[in-house]
Amino acid sequence: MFNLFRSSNSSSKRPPRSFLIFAVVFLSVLLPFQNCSGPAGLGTGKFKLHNGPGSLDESSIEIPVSPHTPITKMFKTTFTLSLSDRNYIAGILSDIFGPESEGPILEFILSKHAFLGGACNELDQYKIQDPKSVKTKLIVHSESLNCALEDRERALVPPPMAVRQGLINQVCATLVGKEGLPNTLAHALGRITSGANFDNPPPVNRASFAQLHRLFYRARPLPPESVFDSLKMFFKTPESPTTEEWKMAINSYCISSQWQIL
Amino acid sequence: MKSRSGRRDFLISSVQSLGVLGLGSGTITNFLSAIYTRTLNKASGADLALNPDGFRYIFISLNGAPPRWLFDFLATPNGPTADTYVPGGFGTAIKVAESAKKATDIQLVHETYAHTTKAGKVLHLPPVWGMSPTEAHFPSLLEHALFVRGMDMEINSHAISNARQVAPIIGGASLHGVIADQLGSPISAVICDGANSGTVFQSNRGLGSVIAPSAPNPIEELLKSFSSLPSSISFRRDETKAVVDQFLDRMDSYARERRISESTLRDSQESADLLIRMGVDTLSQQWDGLFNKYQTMIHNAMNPSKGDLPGFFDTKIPCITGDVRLGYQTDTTDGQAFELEDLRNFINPESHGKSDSLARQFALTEFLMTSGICSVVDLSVGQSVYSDAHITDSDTGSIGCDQHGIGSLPSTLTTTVYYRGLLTGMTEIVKVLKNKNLFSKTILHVSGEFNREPQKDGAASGHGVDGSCATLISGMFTDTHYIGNIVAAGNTKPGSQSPGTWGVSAPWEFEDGIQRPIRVNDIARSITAMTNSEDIVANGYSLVAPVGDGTWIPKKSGGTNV
Repeated sequence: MFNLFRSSNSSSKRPPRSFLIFAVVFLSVLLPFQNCSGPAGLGTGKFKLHNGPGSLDESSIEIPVSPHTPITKMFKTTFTLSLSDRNYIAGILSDIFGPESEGPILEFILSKHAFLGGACNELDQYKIQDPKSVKTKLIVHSESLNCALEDRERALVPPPMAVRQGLINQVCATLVGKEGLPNTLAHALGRITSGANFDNPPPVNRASFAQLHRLFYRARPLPPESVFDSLKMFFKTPESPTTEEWKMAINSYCISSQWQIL
Repeated sequence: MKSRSGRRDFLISSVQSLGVLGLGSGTITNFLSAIYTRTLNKASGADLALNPDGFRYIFISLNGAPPRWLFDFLATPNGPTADTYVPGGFGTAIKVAESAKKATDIQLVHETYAHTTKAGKVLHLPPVWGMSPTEAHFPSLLEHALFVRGMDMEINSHAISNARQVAPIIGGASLHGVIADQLGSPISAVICDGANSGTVFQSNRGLGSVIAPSAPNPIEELLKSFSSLPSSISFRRDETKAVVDQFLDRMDSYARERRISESTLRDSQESADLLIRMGVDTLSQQWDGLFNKYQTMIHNAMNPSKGDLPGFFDTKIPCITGDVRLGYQTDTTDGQAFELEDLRNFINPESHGKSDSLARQFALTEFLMTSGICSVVDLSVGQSVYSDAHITDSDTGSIGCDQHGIGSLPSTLTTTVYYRGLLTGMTEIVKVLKNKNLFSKTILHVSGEFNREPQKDGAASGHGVDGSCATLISGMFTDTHYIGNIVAAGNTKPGSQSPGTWGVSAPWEFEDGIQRPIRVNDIARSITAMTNSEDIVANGYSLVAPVGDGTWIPKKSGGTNV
């Protein structure tokens, strides 16, 4: 390297030829690998998302393979939604539908570890009360007992599936519509508008809809008006809504799947 | 579900167009209700048949890696001759000399079942194919079979190699995933717990698989999610469905705009709603009949009586003390051996563990495949070949698939009986699918993590990573085929304890002149080609080509014992 800079004539101010050659070679090797754009043909990488059904699963990028032939390649990116587990779902539903929702939540949600995931908790097996018992007796819940014993690690965060959604549909319909559980619906109505109940349903207005949205979609922004417009279609006469109509609205929110997404 | 989405889109566009005409909401819902009611099929026990024209994929995982020369490894496809078969201390049958008193009076020999293909060629298969029980005719499977031998499984790991049978790229998409992607069945896939192949289900669309419930009636447990809801609940009535659908679609759009959604959630919602409305939960009553059928057939097949199975089970096999080929060694035993007056006494008719396990899985598979509720199933049929076998007059034990310490004599007997049970289940399910015109696009893919590498003294066998096989049974094949080259002399490394024709892979020539052993990537490529699914590997070659009428043939047939 030093030889490049050593000149045969030490008094000359002109760089030696060998240095010039080295500089040219150095720059011609270095420059193409810089992240700079320009008319030399090095395209900018641009990231665009494909809009449409199943969006977020394709992206394209221009690859500067050579100065004049950028190639656009489609990369398939795959992802699986992370959905909330049975404990989160149980918590949300319990908060909305009140203490009397415990039975259906246990039957359709907490006991379905294989489909709804969630960590095992050995203490769960001691939480169940035997409804047929004269005295309050705790019984061992077999699902809890076996939870940690089985190879269930793949079900910890389960992906979307019809079986899971079916269970959500079942528990929602039961909590909202079952004649034997009027207090669950009343509790939900009261969470929408303070003081509302089975005989005195909430008014049909944006504030009620927004509160209904917030009950399920925790920490999510409010939806556009079109969503609330479609919700209004459940009410024949918005000025005097019926409890039956509010059942439809609450159930529809309950079965809409996206509130389960983490 | 493609058909449901088409129906839903139709309903949505109907709402919009009628809204333009100024019709009231009541008229719209009444109109849509009439359309929906006419197009909805109510489920009943016999006529639920979703996805009648779609593909069906059944992966049968031989997890634990039982020896394959007793099942689907064709050691000498063209007939046992001296130059194509090299004995190696193991075999496919047991020959006992009269009044056998010493170990050398009992020989493991290589016998075959000669099957004539439709093309008139005689193929020699392991003897189990000629052991059809009364209720099943194994050669009916052979009409649609492709045996691929000479496979190098590359990785010596039960877990990883078992998973790679369906997902050759670790962490990548799986065969059952990409096939489920394009089918759109209500339940994407059902995984029978146990094999690693089930844990690597990976769909490009983010679909999820369901683990088969272990409940006494798994159909009931599975379909409980779709129990009919009381019709008294007003919001469940058909006339409100369109309004609910519209709301859900708008929620879907909102979520999509906020990047918190993906279309599979909506598909799950539609599928669940469809199944609830169809009342599929009533189908669970089919379980007892299905299970009892398979339980009876498979239990009988796995518990032959003495004198049955001529040439295989009709001669007493004395257990000679000190014969290393009688070893019984498991994780919990050490140095034990079979000590029975007659080795055939291992049969324990009281034992139902293994036969029940197979029966449950085949019964559930038949229900799912015929109803179309799910068209992709992963069966875990390995782990053990026989449970509660008699080891001594007083001891029983399980015979595992991973037969490191199981001697060649009990291995041959018990594993053949196991394959007989497996083939019984497979034959029955293929028969049912054929009867319902569902077999023409069905693939049964049988594979395990590897073959076994038998010791020449017959005392045990190790992992046969270098020479395994895979079998495809499909309505898309119309004859018996085999492909793949093997090394006749077996493992020829210096000091090898495993000579013999047990299936060590030899190079196979692919269409572009590449020569290497067949690998799982090639099987994967073949299956994705046959099912018109997205490739899950970038390398590998499809071993089959379409004929043009929906059937497929191997690109190159046959194979050589080099």
